Amino acid sequence: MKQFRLQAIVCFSNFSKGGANRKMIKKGISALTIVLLGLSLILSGCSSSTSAKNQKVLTIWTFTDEAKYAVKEFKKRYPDIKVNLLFITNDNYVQKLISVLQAGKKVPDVFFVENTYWPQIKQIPLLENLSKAPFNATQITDQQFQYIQDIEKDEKGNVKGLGYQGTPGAFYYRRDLAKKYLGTDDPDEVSQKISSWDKIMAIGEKVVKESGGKVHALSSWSDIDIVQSSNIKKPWVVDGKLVIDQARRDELDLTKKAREKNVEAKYESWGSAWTASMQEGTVMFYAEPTWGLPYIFESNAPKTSGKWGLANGPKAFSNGGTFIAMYSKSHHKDLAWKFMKFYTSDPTFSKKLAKSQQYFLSNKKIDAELASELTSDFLAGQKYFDFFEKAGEAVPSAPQTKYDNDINSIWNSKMNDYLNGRIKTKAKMLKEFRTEVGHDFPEIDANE
Amino acid sequence: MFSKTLRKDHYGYLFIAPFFIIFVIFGLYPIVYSFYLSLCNWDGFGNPVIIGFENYQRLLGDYMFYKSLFNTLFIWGISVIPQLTVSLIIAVILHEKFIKGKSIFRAVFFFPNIVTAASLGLLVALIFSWQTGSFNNLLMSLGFIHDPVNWPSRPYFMRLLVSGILFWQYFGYSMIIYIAGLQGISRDILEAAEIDGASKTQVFFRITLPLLRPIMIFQVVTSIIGGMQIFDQPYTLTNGTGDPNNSTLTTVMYLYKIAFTRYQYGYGSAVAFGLFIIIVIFSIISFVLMNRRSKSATSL
Amino acid sequence: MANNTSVTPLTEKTLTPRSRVKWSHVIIYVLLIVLAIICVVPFYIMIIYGTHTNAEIASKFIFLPGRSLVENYQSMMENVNIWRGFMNSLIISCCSTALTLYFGALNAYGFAKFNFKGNKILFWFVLATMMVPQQLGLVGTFRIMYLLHLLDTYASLILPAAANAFAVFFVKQFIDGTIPNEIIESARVDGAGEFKTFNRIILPMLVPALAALGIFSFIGSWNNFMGPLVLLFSNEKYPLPLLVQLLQGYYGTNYGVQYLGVALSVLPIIIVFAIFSKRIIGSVAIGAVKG
Repeated sequence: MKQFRLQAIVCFSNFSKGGANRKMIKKGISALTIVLLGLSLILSGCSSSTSAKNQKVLTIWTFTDEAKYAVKEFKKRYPDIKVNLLFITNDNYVQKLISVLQAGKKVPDVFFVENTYWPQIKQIPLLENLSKAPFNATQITDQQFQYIQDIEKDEKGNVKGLGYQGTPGAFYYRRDLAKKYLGTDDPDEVSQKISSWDKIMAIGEKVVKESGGKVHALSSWSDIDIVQSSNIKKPWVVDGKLVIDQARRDELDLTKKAREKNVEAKYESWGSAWTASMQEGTVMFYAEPTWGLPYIFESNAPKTSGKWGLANGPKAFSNGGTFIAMYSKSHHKDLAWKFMKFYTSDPTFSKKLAKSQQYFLSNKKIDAELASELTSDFLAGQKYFDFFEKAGEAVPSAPQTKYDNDINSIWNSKMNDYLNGRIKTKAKMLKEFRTEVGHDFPEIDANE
Repeated sequence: MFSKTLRKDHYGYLFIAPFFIIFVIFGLYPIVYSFYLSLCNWDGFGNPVIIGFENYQRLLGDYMFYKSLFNTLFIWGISVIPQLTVSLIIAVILHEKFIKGKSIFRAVFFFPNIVTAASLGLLVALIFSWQTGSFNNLLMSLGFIHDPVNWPSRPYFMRLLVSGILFWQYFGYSMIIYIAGLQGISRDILEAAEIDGASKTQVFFRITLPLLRPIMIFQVVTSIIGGMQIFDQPYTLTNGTGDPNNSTLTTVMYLYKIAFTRYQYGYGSAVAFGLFIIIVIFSIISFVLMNRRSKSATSL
Repeated sequence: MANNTSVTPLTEKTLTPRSRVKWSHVIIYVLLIVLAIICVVPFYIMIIYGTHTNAEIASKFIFLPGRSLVENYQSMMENVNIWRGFMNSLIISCCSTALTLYFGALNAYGFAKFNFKGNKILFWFVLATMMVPQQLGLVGTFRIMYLLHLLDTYASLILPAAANAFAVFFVKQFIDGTIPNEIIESARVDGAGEFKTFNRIILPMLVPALAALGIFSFIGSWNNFMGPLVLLFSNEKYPLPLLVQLLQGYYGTNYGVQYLGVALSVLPIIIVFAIFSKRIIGSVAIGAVKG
């Protein structure tokens, strides 16, 4: 028998060239056993993890690390509640969330949803209606900015999620550049000078000329988009028909003009050149919401502290925001509600959150209380809560549909093509846009 | 004695059982279920509603499906031709005795093949990005261009870039296979030809190449089955979008997008079966080629 | 074996001017080296750029290492734990490779050495499954994983590896060529059970084939992108390819960190390849010739 074995090995070692000896064989076998052992461990580990059902554990899914801070504080307040926080990055988050909702298994009790995806999620019938007892969420939402209240409700007017974040926008401006080219860095005076798109275009042309092409008024076409898309009157889809609101049509002209006259710096929004420009000081204005302060400007341009200011642009706008929703079949609705209530309305926590994290809240009462005391060194001492509290009151309610995210991404893609010159005319751009929407959603009538 | 061996033969079922059990659960069931879904309308909530062949009708008239097929075939075609020719040349060169450092060259050329395709996609995306890409920075520092070129907005360039990644990943692999084939060619034939006074190029075109033909066909066949399934590289290259203007949207990316980001599971499954039918057609074509190969092999 | 080809031409070509021959050699070397540079440069860029800040990368072309390696590393580790991904990849790849090898060998042995009814048909069936692309059942795979409570587990990526048709084909070829029936007969005479015979006697004899096959299936599993993309949810279970994709989402604005992340995801492969390149290339060649 041994003879045969050897013969076989010799046969093969001719063929494999690398050859093999018996040591290797032994190694191979022991490696195999170890791996199989490990496998069985993993598999058994998987099945045992589902057994701990009787304990009161609140499962939360989030895409944002902000949640970590809130959960930490929540645990301090309620030490007896166990929280199982699952963090999934934004790119895959909604897809996974919808998957578990569809499957009806492993669904978290509470989940965070970013505004981009919220219109799509909030119409899923598996979200708890928070308007009714025992939650009576309107008691909380009544204290919030009107535009947030509108987003929180579904088509029937029921509250399906609670927003904890206030997201009115501002034109963040570089004070040094404003002083140089506009002669002032006072927020009110700057606001005066950029109160219409025409004024911004004029400033842009002037600045490019005077700086020799180095400095631009706006960072990218999305500075226009962010404002315009917040000011639409009609959503993308009305009665099954695709509607292109006037604000979006205006946006097409504005962005094209801004591109052609070098009013915008052609940076890709959220691209690396865009963030680098904040540090370098090659752009005067960036249209961004409240959370842009910590997440965009402070994090990307830490060395420019004190060089920034907040002004009002041509129109009020908002962007982003996160909503917390509850699974309607959750076994821990009481705990879930405790968490949601804590995050959105607990005065002590809210104030602590606002102060320590520079976090502007959806609750305008608390924002107003803090308005006089909170200033930012990064913004050269400007009272930013005061600024945003006023801005928040003016934010219009932009109507939404469940298609928004998908249609927006088609729109953005076509906009890029139009501005970069792949699509030559406005009419062609709109036609391509309609074709693609009609293709992706056969149920929508996308014709003119 | 006879009955004993017969009894033993039944053990065969036990040996193949685990494989088939796993295959039925994780291989067959998904396919059958996908086919069932392709006859349904289902957004994942509630129960699937059977709608017959409507999804397939939609597929036949779906310009995006055809576009994705075109993208896939274009990307595959552009990559496979240089892949198979360049690798052949390199293989022949590296088969020559005078070359020093053969194993190093072989290793370097082969290396991109085992690198995670997703990583390569992202790496190339970073290098060729518009405003901060190192490729643009290189061209600018060499003075070829003044302003950064917006490469990612050019449909054909981006397709070529995916082809480029595939070429980069697979020419080393093809090379290894050719070398294995070259090593299998009998010395006697070549020797005899050279003694007869044939030049190196003559030997290459008259003898080596025909003998390598089966290997070339094998490579074409495997590469087309793999090529029809391109996903990782264009996905990470464009961050899942298939931009610009869906020009890098391969059929599998399209299937993924329909099923897992638009939640049209029924239609997504129909796309999968549409792709499968096309792969089958290509496989049949290559099967015919393979048969011809064996005929020509016997005539040699 | 390369001797003959190049020795024979020498006899007639030594007389032709040597310089010409050398020039062609030079050209060939240049070609090889240029190609080698093309293969290596992107990886070089990746490593160098991983040590620079975003602002440096944005402003100019760089070919020397920078000083921001630690800074990039720290900001990457805040959100993306690449080592965790490395562990995940290792667990998934090792386990699926083990399953592929063991069950592939088991099945191949069954087909090769037992003449049961339907042997041929079933084997053809196994071969036919190789033609079916994985994506065909993508939606259904998601479904079965959820029915079996396997969504978001390593097992969802590992278990299907037990049914690898190529492995069966590959090992059966090897068994047919190298393992004579007499071995099995004599084991039976010794009174060993069928599975004992397989585990104790046959399996060790298959190691050379399994080593080659193992390399394939390990690389395939290590680089698998679509499977985990669909089946895994939690970040902490993500294998490397998905973490790379995460970087894109997380640090879209910071190229330094993205380059570093890609570099770290590729580095283990570079190291392993540097050590085992001969064996890996060897097994690729075997696999191809066999296939």
